[in-house]
Amino acid sequence: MRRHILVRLIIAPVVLWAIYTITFAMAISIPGSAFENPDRNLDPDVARAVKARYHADDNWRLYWEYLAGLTGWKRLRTGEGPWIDLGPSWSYRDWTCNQIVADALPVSAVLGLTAVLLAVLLGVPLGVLGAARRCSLFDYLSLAVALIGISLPSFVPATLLLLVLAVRLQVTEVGGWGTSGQVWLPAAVLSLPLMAYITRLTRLGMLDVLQSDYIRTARAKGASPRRVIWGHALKNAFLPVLSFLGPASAFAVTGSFVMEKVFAIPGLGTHFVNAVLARDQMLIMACVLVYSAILVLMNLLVDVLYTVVDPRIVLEDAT
Amino acid sequence: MKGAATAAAFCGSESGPMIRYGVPIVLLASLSLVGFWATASRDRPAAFTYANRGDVVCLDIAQMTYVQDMRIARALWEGLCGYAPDGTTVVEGAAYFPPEVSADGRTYTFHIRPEARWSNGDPVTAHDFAYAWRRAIEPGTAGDYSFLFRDNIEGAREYWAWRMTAVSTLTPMRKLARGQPVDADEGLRLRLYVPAERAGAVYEGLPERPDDGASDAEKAGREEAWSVRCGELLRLGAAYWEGLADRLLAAHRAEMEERYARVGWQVLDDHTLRVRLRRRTPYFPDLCAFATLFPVHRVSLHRLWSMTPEGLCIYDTQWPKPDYHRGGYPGLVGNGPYRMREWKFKRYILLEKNPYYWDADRVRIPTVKIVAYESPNTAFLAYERGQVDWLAEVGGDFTPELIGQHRAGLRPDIQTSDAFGTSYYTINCRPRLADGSPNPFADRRVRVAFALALDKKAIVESVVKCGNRVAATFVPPDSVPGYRGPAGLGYDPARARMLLAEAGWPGGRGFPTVELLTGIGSDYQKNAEATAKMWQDQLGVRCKLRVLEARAFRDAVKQGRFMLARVGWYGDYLDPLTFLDMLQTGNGNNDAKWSDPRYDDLLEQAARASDPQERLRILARAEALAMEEELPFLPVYHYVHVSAQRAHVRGLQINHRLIHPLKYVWLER
Repeated sequence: MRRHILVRLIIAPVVLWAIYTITFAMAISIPGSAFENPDRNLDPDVARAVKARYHADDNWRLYWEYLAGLTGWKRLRTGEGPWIDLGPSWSYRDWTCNQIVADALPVSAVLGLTAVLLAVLLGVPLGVLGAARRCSLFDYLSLAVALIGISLPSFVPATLLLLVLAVRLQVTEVGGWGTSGQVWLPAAVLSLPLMAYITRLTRLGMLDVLQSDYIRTARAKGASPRRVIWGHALKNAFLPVLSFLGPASAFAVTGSFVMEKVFAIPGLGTHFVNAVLARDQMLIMACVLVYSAILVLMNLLVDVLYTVVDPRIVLEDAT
Repeated sequence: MKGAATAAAFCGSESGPMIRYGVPIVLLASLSLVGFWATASRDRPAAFTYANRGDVVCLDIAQMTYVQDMRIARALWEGLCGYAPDGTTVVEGAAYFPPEVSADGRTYTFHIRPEARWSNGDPVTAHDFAYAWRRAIEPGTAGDYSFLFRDNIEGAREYWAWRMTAVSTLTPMRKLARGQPVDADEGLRLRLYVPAERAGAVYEGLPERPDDGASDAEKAGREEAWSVRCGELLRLGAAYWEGLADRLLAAHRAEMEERYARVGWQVLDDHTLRVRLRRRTPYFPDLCAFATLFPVHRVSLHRLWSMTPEGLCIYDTQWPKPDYHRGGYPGLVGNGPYRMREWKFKRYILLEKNPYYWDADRVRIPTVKIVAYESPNTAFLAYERGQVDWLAEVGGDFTPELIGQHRAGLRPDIQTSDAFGTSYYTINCRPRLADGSPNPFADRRVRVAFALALDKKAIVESVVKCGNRVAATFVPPDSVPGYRGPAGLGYDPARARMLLAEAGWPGGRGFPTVELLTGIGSDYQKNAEATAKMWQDQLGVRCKLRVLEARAFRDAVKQGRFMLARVGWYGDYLDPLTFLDMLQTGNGNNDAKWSDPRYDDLLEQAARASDPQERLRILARAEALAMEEELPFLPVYHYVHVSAQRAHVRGLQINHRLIHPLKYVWLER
């Protein structure tokens, strides 16, 4: 397993480099420019000068200089600046992408983690109970949660909750980041679709596992129903949930555009979308690279966790 | 005993599922708690909180373009002149008012008050203004509004051009020195610099630079061949280009101060600044209250200055932050009524009263917090919740209902006013469309027919529903004191059909499908649909919508890939020219590519007129020509501005230019 992890860690930079190259190529090929105001035309000479100032007129140079900044080569050569330099933002010109990511990522991460946590804590028991008592109240409840969670666009519960809890009851504030209410509310809404998936995955997994021989054996030897379900069955039924959790956490941690917009949370999700709208190539690449790095890490983490949850799984070399 | 058994059953025998699942959950929970504690902003309450529609984009005054940024700039800096709360009257600023004006109206002398201070106590001098203005015309720092200098101040355009020539020569030289290829344009610029003995080897056999006559594909192919060839040959001498570029840059820098001295502003002494204008500009004091003409603290900012090998002047982009200290930089220093205490990205900006401000007695709020809401709905909820005292711009789908309630006397806290802006269609006047087919809109009669067939009142009343004024002219009526614009065209579908028939399309038969271009998600999309329907019904032409994302839309409009495009324009300074100069031949914002010597001549006459009233009359004649006869732009309605403020906020005067100087705001609790 150690070898497997090592190989994956060595491949990771190659994957990121490929992603960087593809993103770069895509970013330079979208029409429109970060340096032009969408409402009026910039004098062509001024546009040329501003683009030159940010090396936006010279993609070849930009590609290599950015890569040098990313890999720490620039820092080695100049002895100045951060080791991983994501470059200056083109749309928020007073800020660097490092600052933006450093400021926004932890916020999104906290929000995402809380949401994932909520989703697991509520989704798994709901799924288990739904499966254990098929066609009972619990089963229908878990089905209802799943349906609502998946089909309701998240800005609807978000706005409703804000209207009721913040404006009418004044329990929490509208938007911002600082009080616990400003975390729980968006996290709860963000966790809804995740919870829905987890509930369904757990329920399906449980139904499947409960049919298997070893459960019958466990029951036959007299294990209590509780022990059978939580101790024996869940272990196996949890595997699909676990594989879903990898990308889901990466998705939740890097921020949700809608949640951040509705709750005015200074997270990475809004930058992701706004950077594309503003043609801020630097911020696009910063967001994509950070997201990819997290995704790569999460997938590796899930692979390792598999072996912890299910000792039968042995990681083979990726070669 | 039974209890123990249950516990054991629950925990399992070996490691126990409870522990196995519990540990990661507890870990995750504590991680998110710690993370929250670390990222939560220790919120500092302020006496006055307001929200902009969008977030702050850029606080470098030379590059600033957005309304919300300029609003903050007016709190942090102060120009030679300022605005009264009405946003129209120009009043004293860092200089005494009014300035001395020469008889020909082209020379202004400003006397900066000796008690004007920077937020660190340094006196504000004429040098600070000159330095800031120079930043605005230096390649590398110049932004969208640098045209205000180039168009108005003597010598600014020439200095800029001279600098740009050097930059655009040095750029390909540095490329070649790095071993990078150059393109056809760049190669051409370097011709002069190739030594005689090598010129033959480099340029012999090069095809002439392709001209515009060739077809697109052919041209592209030839450009490609040309540039590849250029690149290959020129790359041979990387060291040569490096040395040459260094020498050129040195020579350029040596000449720079002498060239700069010819720009029309002159520091007579520490407190006197003389400005020489290109022509008579009665609205120059108004410009002096505009953010791009604000001063910067020269001593501290110059520490972050550098010149790139290409000759661009650059500053460390992070200078507008209060806590940025690279290389001994003290953090942002301003001369306005407020100074910045904290800037948390995407969260808030905290301002505090500047104790050194010369007019500090008048500033009555100790701290101001500016918060950003990405969504207009959330911003309004925050206002309703009482977190925000003033919502500078109310947006969102509910605005018409809100205005309705306000009209019914239910919401006295909502304010609406006409804005200094017009929503209009720009009509492509090029003889041919982008696809090469003949453009029916090149005919004046067709443009007028489309204008006459548009029921703007219906659009305003049943689609926009925000109480906008119908626009028959480009300059909003009664917006510029002393200016009486033409009446414009009304709604007359019968005459429209007649004109269309005259132009060769009776009943709209055979008229090519009209394409309306709009930006996605803009308010225009909805009313473009209504417009299309009207033209279809009234003129018998077929219309279709083409919707593009905002920046792709801008590209398409700029390159003339449209028939009619829905755009808007806000005036920058209080003069009809801020609208009318767009239609001048060769103006960068003349997307219609309309050109009429009569119009250009009228604008020229206005520029030469010595009597301000006469000047405005000539401008009105120019507008009449454009809006009643030629219609390169088809005005639809004038914008309305909606804001909301709590009852205790005083001194905020809603005005059509959206200028709300924080200096005069106070609270009554």
